[in-house]
Amino acid sequence: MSAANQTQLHRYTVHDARPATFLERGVTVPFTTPVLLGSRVRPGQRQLLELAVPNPAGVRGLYIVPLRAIRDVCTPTLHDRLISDVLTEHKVVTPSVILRLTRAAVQEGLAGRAAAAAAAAADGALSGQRLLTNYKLLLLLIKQMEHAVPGQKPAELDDPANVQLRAKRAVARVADEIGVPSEIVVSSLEEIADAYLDIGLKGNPTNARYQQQLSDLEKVSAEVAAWGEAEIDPHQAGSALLIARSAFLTFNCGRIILEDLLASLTDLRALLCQWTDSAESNRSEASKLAWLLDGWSVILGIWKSAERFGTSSAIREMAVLVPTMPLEVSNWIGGQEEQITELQGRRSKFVSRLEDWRTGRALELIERNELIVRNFV
Amino acid sequence: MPASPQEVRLLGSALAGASPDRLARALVVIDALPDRAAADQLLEKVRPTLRDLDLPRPLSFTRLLFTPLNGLIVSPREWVPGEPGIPRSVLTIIGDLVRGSLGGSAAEIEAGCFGQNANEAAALLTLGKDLWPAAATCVPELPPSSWSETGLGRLHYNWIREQCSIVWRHSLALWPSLQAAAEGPPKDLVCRALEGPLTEGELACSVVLHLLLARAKRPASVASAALDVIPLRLGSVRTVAQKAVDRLLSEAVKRELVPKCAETEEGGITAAAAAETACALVEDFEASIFLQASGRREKIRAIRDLAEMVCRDNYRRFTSRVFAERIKQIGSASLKNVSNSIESIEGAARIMKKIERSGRRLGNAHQYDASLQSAAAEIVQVFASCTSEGLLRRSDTLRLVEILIGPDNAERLCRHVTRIEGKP
Repeated sequence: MSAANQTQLHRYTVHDARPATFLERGVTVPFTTPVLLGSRVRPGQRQLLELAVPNPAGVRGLYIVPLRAIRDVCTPTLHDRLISDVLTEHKVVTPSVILRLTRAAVQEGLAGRAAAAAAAAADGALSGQRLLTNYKLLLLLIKQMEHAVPGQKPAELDDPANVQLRAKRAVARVADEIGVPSEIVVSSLEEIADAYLDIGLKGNPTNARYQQQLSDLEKVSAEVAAWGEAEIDPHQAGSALLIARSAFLTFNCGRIILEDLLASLTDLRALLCQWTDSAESNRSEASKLAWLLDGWSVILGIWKSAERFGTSSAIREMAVLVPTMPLEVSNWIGGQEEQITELQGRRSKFVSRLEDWRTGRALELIERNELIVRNFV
Repeated sequence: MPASPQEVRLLGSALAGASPDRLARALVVIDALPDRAAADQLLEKVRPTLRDLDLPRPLSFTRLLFTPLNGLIVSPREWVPGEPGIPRSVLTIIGDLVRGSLGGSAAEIEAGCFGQNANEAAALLTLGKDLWPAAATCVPELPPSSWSETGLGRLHYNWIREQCSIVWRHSLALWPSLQAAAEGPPKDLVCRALEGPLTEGELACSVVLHLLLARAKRPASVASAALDVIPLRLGSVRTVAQKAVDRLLSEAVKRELVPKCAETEEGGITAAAAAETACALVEDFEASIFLQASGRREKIRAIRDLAEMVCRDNYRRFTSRVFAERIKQIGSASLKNVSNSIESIEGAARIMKKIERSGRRLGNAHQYDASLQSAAAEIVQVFASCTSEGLLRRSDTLRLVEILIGPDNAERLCRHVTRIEGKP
């Protein structure tokens, strides 16, 4: 074939396109219907939500349907009908909104009592974690705002009454320096605590969701890579490599974002000043980690139950669900473009036709997906 | 003092009737016996159960060595000279021969086996990569003096040695298809596994094909894939594939593919798995090219009819003895263990559905519909009459009905159901 013909043909090659933004990629909803696992919701036309179902035909691709038409593409479980009904009423999708709505829906019990109990426990723990994060931020503020006084105890070792007094002084000092009333500083600090609830603080003293997920991601990346190295089947080994490398890339990007977010806590005065000035853009900055890690919770859940439900099929499923990196990530973190492009090429090669759900394993997969929901919430 | 043959028989029979838990505990003791021959005798009756349960077994040098040959290993009584198969009684002797020939590297591999589990594929492959190809070239041509203990002759030794060498030589190419036996194995893996043996000729193809067919979930597809890659000019090798199919069918007709065992939860799980295997086998043959030869169609029909009958009986027994009992218990469950009770009913409903799923494919589908509808109605009835908030909730009811008759029917059936006191 001539070079000119090849160039012509190349124009018709189907490329695995990358979404421009994370919002365009959508947010993963923990569905239990096997064919819907890993599906993402995103804003569609006429302010309605649409659903992107991965790999419907055994080739890399998405099946896009309006969320309300979910019953036209499959027979969803009762749990998924409830979740899609709940989501249909919402127009805003972010990972935290989906998490909140999922927790509420799961507590209805249609994904099982264990999942409902896990969701209720997670909801119950929220207020305690919010309080702890807020308190830890206050201690940090005291440390940063106080001048060193010889012999004075660190705030975390001081009496509660003293801590309260020192906190008031620190807040008043910040308020004075940035020129806002103390109440604004207090409410801004609460908002920061809220935004950092799932991000946590340095050393993860609050056991925050995303720091935990990052460390799980690093672990799974190593485990899957080791599994792939021992695998002789080239397709399976390639799929494992795709998962391991994507997980590691996401872990690396996540670590950079986390470090940036934690670095802004080293100067709380400056952060409070920015926050009072433009809370929304700071909130959006803090949500980057959630957007980046979105979708991995399901993949980690599949790996967790791989021993029980079969490692080879878990690898095939995980390879299909590996999230694509939106172009927007280059604006967030530089220097990863080469790796992202390489992985994007691999994504198209290692995709399997998932047939378990149509060959009679639907019941087992729903049971497995309910375990994933339990981990997700 | 060694046990008498009668004592061994009695112990073996006791093991055959043991629950999976007891069997697992007994296995730990048996695996630690220094005399492998006695252990093999004891385990003879429970081998099919052991395979289904996939219980963890400690990895030893000999077990690792013969892992790729698992599908060919038979009891000495079933072994037929000249046909593909390795009698279990020779494993220790050949294992010792290989260990002796490999010397230091065998000791290293043996040390690597320590503390490993024979069910862990990754560990098996890591150690096997060093062992199997080396073993293929090191079994001596002459049998050892201990060979006479097996009661087999020198020619038998040659035949067994030849088969072992073939499998060990191709073990790494065979490994993915052996691991994917429960998924078919897929055609591309079968083709890759046969590439090497095809260059060697009829014997190598025959041994490898029998090995692939032994554990394959879809043996007819495996044989078809083999015929696709075996060139027409190799007529004798193609005949091997046809013969292997006939042998497999004759064995399947003789064997009870689906055991009558669904009176407990474990029994139900075994029955469901066996029904699924029988179903896959029958459907695979019916869709294959192998039905054209005379006699095969009748054999498949016989397998289908028998499996369908036993499956229906298992379903009926499981429904009445396990599922119905658990539904009855929910009324009397204390608040403390109610969540466990619900989980156990859900577990029973899933097993019921799994048996039904295969049974329906084997025949008489309509008989299952009425039973499932009535089980779902019974659950709704129990929900309506439960007056305690902690017992069967609306969501539990919906889930149970969903498992049995699907989400659409669950929505329809439960739409108008309310509890007497209007509890959740």
